Amino acid sequence: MTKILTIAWKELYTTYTDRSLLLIMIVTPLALATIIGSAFSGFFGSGGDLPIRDIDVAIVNLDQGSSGDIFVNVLVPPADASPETLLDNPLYELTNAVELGDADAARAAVDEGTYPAAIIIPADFSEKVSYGQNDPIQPVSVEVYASSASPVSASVIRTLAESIANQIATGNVTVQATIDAMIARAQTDPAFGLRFLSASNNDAFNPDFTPAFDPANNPLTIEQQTVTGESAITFNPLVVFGSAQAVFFMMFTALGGANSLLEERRDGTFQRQIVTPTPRIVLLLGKFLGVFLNCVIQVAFLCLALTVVGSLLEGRINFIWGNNLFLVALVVITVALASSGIGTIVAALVKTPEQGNIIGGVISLAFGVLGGAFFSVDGIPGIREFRVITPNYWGVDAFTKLAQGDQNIGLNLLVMVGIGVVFFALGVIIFNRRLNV
Amino acid sequence: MTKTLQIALNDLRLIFKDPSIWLNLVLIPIALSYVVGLASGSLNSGAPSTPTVLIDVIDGDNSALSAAFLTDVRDAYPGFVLCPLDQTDADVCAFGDEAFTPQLAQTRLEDKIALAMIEIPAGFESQINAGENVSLIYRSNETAAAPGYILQAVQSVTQRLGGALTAARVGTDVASTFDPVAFGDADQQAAFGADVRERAAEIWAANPISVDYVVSRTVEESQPSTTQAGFGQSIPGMASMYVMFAIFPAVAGFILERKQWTLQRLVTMPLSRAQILGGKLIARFVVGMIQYTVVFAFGLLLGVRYGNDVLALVLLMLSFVLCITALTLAITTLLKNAAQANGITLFLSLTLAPLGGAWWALEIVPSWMRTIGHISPVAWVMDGYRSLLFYGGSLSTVMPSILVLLAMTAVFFAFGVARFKFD
Repeated sequence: MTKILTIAWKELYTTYTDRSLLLIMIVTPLALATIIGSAFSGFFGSGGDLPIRDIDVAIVNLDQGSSGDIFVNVLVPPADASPETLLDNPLYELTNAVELGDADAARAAVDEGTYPAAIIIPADFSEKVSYGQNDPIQPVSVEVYASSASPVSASVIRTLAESIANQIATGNVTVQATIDAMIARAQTDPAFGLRFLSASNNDAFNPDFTPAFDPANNPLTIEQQTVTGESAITFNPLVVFGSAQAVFFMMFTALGGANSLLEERRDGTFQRQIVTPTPRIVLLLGKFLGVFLNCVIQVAFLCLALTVVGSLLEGRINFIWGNNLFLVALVVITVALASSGIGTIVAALVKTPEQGNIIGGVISLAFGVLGGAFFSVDGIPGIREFRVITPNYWGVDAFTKLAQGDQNIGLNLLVMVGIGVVFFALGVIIFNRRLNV
Repeated sequence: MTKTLQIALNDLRLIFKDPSIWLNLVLIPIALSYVVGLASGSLNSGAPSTPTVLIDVIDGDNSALSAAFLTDVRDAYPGFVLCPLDQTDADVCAFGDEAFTPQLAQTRLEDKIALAMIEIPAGFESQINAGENVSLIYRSNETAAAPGYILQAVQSVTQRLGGALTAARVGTDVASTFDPVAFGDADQQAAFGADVRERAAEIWAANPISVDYVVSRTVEESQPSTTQAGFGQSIPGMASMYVMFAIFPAVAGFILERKQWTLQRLVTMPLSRAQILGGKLIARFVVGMIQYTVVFAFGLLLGVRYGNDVLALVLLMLSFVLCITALTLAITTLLKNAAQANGITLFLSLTLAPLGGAWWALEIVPSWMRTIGHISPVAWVMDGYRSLLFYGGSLSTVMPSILVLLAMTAVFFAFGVARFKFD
């Protein structure tokens, strides 16, 4: 056992005194996760739940009446707006809306890339949407002209326009439905009819429909919850992408570490160790234990470093991985075990270090892609089904669950331990048999 | 010049002698461009690109109102399949042999078989009829990386149904305020509210205000497409990143040649140092251009349109490849061994690419990140590509990008040449 630990310690010492390796193992994933975290930094701190902000949008209000002004008032801050006014309306933060006078000019500006989208309100908007005597509401369209180059921003503007349009519609539909119902009641209830007619003729009927234009009065709401049924919490990209990067780069460490045994065999240093009074299996176990410990330390360090980055971005100390340190540690250990297991089996099956480098690189990249190191593959049928074969997926999923307070990660741990133990054992056995020294 | 080209050819021969070059130059960039393009397309298009999107529904009310609500949700996007309501003999809901239960719905959501789950509480209709506030529960697997088109649809339907309920509530208040004696009893008041709600629902059914979403067309398209949105981002993005991966190994190459004395041996031959350096840099420059050609050709097969100005496109490619080649020379002068070179170049490739918008369009990042991103040559070349691919740009519109890249090239090259040592 002492020999195994000594060999493992030598592995650790070699790795953590090599600055070039540390650059790849620690600095690069940390930098990448920070870039990704900053790119989505709207999710942090005062940014609240706005993933993106300051979307440039042009509003062309051609409406001859006053309903179209609602779009302008909601989205374009007054020229003399105080800082408090700007803070009161989150839409001022979400968009940089400007009012233009010409629809064609706005469309051209979208085509040229000046704006991701333009909202164009037609001239007859108020006329059609407002209820008048013998003049019911008629369908009308608001145009959102979007750039195909900025689909995310354009999609946000579309949702925003739909929301404002629905609210305007709610108010006007309420007016028409109420007046129509009162007229119908007047026809069936003569006493009510007379009072209603009299009030209407004397301008005494001044109903207040303002509440219908206030979205807060909608009795139907949606309660967003996490997958497990808890109140939805803010998405933290550092957890998802940070853990994905950590596992992705750890896979390189695992495969590279195991592959180094092939290099030692090629260079003859392994043969030199064999002639010492040390059983071959002890040498192998020591070597692979070193790889496993390297992986554990790498991921643990990245988790801590990402916490620091997250806290800096958020402006307060925040352990981003949830509040169950024991389970976080278990995930770190099991994902490291699974990765080093894969590293071991690859090193056992390939013939030369060069082969190992190529195959290892492809596996790391493929697993990284499937595990969400660069983007989510959840929405890609035909690809998302393969996520489950990677420790990256199970590890990142476990980290994400823990960060969201969900401790139901038993299956994740089981799968990772299974992958690790089986591949590790198989790898050591095959490697031991194939050693032609 | 002939000698320079001979050195370049020799280096190219050596580079392509290694079978793994095809993996790194063709297979991986193409695969990655394709997957990133798919991810960007589904991420960006808003509507799902998949034929079916499974949404599990736990209808605890089973009322006419809950059924009407679910019908509206189903109609929001053609691909929505509400399970178990829409289950067919062909098992469109992918239940297998299992019976649908809340527990199964939970598992399906966790396993990402269903992308969302809607739970309608018991008493939904009666509570609404009584004028009470009601909350629907919505759970999903959607994250910031996959914008909530399902949530968007559910919210829209909720807003409309809620609009009719708001009308009933506000209308009843208006009538009561106008004539306190109008309703003899609570039943009459409820009947009036129901009448208002029914009328409001009828008006809503006619879609009083719709949003006409028009996506601008790219230059050569008759119709806007998600192909251009997804692959129009991923093809130039991944190609630019892999140009770096293709050229940067020259750093380790130079260091290794110096270590193995092959560079010093070349110096003793009747060749000028400029010819040697030029030949080696030309070789890597050619590899970079091959990399661009491979991925862009693949993009062409996928249907990506590169705009109307071929000259602008080629100049953009040339200036970026030139810039990265010059950067390679500059970095070489700062490093001492191959391990350092591998670490630094991997670090640079993987940070300059996302910083410059190779992984995602810079439109989604905060403005300060866009500004910082432009320290990366990738940001400048991506600006140019976006101009050509999406905005009908020409040589004049991409000229700023080309000039900045050439200016960077001049700085890196001057630095590199001044510091480069052959021994």
